[in-house]
Amino acid sequence: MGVKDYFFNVKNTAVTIFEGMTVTFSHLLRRPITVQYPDKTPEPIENYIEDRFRGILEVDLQSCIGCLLCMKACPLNCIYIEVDRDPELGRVMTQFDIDEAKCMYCGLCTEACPTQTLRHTKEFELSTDDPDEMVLRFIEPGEKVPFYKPQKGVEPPRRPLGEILRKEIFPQLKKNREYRDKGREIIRQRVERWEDREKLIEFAKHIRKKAGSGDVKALTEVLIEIIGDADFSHQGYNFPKELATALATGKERVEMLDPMGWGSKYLKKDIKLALRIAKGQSVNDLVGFDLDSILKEIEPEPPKPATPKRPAARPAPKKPAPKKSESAKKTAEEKKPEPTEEKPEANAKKTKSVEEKPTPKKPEAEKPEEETGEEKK
Amino acid sequence: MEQMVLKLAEKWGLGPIGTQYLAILFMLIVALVVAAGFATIFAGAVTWVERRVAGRIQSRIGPNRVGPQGILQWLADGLKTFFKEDFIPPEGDQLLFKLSVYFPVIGFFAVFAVLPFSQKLVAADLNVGIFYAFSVTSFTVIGIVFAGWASNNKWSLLGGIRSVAQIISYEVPIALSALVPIMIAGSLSTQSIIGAQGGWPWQWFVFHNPFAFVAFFVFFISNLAEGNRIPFDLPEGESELVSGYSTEYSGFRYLLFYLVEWGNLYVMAALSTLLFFGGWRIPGVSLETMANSWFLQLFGLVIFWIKAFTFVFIIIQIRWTLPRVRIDQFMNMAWKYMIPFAFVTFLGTGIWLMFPHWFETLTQWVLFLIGLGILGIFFWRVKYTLDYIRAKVDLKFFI
Repeated sequence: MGVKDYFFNVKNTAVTIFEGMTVTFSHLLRRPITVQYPDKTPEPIENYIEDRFRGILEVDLQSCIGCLLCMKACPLNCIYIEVDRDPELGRVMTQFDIDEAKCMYCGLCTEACPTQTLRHTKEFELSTDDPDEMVLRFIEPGEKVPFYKPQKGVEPPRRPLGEILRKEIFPQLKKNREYRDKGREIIRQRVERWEDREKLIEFAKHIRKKAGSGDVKALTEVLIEIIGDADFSHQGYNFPKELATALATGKERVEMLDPMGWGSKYLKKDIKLALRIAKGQSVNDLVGFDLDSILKEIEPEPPKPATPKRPAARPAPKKPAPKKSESAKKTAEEKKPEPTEEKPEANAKKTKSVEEKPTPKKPEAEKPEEETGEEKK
Repeated sequence: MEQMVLKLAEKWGLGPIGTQYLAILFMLIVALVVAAGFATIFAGAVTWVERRVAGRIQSRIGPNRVGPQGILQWLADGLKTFFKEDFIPPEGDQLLFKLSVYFPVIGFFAVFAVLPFSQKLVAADLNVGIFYAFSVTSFTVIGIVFAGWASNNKWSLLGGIRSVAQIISYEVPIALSALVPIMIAGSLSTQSIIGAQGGWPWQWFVFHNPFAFVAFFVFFISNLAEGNRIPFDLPEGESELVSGYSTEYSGFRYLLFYLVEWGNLYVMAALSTLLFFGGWRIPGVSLETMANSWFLQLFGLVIFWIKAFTFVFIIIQIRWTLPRVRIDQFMNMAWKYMIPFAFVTFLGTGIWLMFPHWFETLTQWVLFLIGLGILGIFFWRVKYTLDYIRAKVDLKFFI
């Protein structure tokens, strides 16, 4: 290293450090790029979010045709829709729940929606200490929402994106605690009744009254009541209704159930009790005392006339449609000779529609209006 | 302060032993005020300043949650560290491990004995002030070596070894470059050195002659190395040695190490200020007028702090500008550049002092203008950088 290099090194060091200091000093005079998100944002947070952002799901029920495609498209079963028939309004939805705790924001449901009424909003702030609070209930219990009847050339009515969530859904999320507490109350009662004979007898009487006739529908209702909030998603039953139907129709055996959590061993006992009472079998070995003789005194309610009189133009496409209809048919033929006059027809139509449906599914997404028009016919 | 003690002793009618006790009490009070009231708080608060400045330099905000604008962040951090488990490695040297923390702390607080805040605001105006300061700050190295050894940890040991190499190497240029103002002032006492400088910038020792100008940079850089500051924080070297000598430390012992490290910022800045930048001298006020006025004393304190805190800021800015140097580069720098330069400045100043007075005044002015020019170029380059990326100037520091 010569003298020249030596002094060059010194000069180089001094100059580069000087330059570096100017650069860092210039940063001191600039505004930081940090956005202090929850506290202070220069603009509303929506402005920072891209239009294609997949936020919390929102459904505008005034233009929902009740096709249940979203429910079927969801890989996680986080959408649950209950369809019913009303003598005045026709076919109505009585429940439309989206469990945002489960949702993985894949967007498959929004792609499936023919009227694009189910949409991803730009909302994303839904933090809570209780996942039960993240169930968005778009229909209040007891409320009935008729289906939207699409017309050609008329755009379905729309509210601004995210308005329903902000104004109607989010303020009511606290209510979900009530539902959760209801579920806990069911479990508490269940544990209590197996410790208290009086309550058990009362419960057995209740089952006998409702489902003693052996009617599958009545039994399903009772089973739904019993299952309550119990989680069987690990066994492939995402909704209590699914499990209840499977149990009532004999597709699932009680022994195979693997309930979890507090009081779960009583759940199996409850279900066994209900099933045996419905089939008219003895329950004495299950409860440990002579319950059969008590139950014999009670007259079970006669099964309701299942379907309404007016012919169903398009039967409600319920979830596991093909399987369920078949099984329902079977049981109906086996156990109930009286109302078979109408039911087989309806069931036949059901199966037909199920067979037909898959074929026009593909163009559906592309031409929603036409498809819905066809459906109307 | 001596006079004050004597006056009080006279007033209260104390004997010679009573006067001594009174003096000891006074010393304790002063030590408490300086240690607890200034050094500790400074060491804590400057961490917040540094993190805010660092944030700004990196285009972010920095801590702003605890207290208004995060100003209490250092208290929160300190409290958190304070309540950590006090872990002592069972395989290590227990006694040395516990002992090693005290050396840096002693060294750090002892310097404040000779660091002046103003003409009258100084704990002890020793006639060997600077010599004492350099001796006492070397305590740090003992603690660091002990810590590195007693931890029984290879990283710690490497950190300790590096620290020894570093401080031994850089003690030499520090002392040699500090000799320049000492030679010019003809005294080792901190107050006399400040007194020998004038209030106006061109009367500062840094502009006294070209050699002093260079000596200042040698002194400043060596001081950075002595205080284990980036770019010379090899004893810690997070990316290489986890945390160096303090790897095994936790709780209050760790806190003390960091108290010293951050407090040393002020010591470095104050030493640079008093040796080269005129200390507490007020422009256009003679020493005699200043001695008779409390207001001027406080004004001197403000001036001293303005200068010292500017240096603190520059040290912080250097930390967030430069990367850490490698150990061989680092030793090269000490032995091949710093020490020769320090020797040259020392000799050069000695020769310069033989020149006539008018020549000194001329060079002072020339050097002052050169210094102003460098500052001007600095801001011009800053403006150039800002214009180059079309950035808007935003001076709101509290957002």
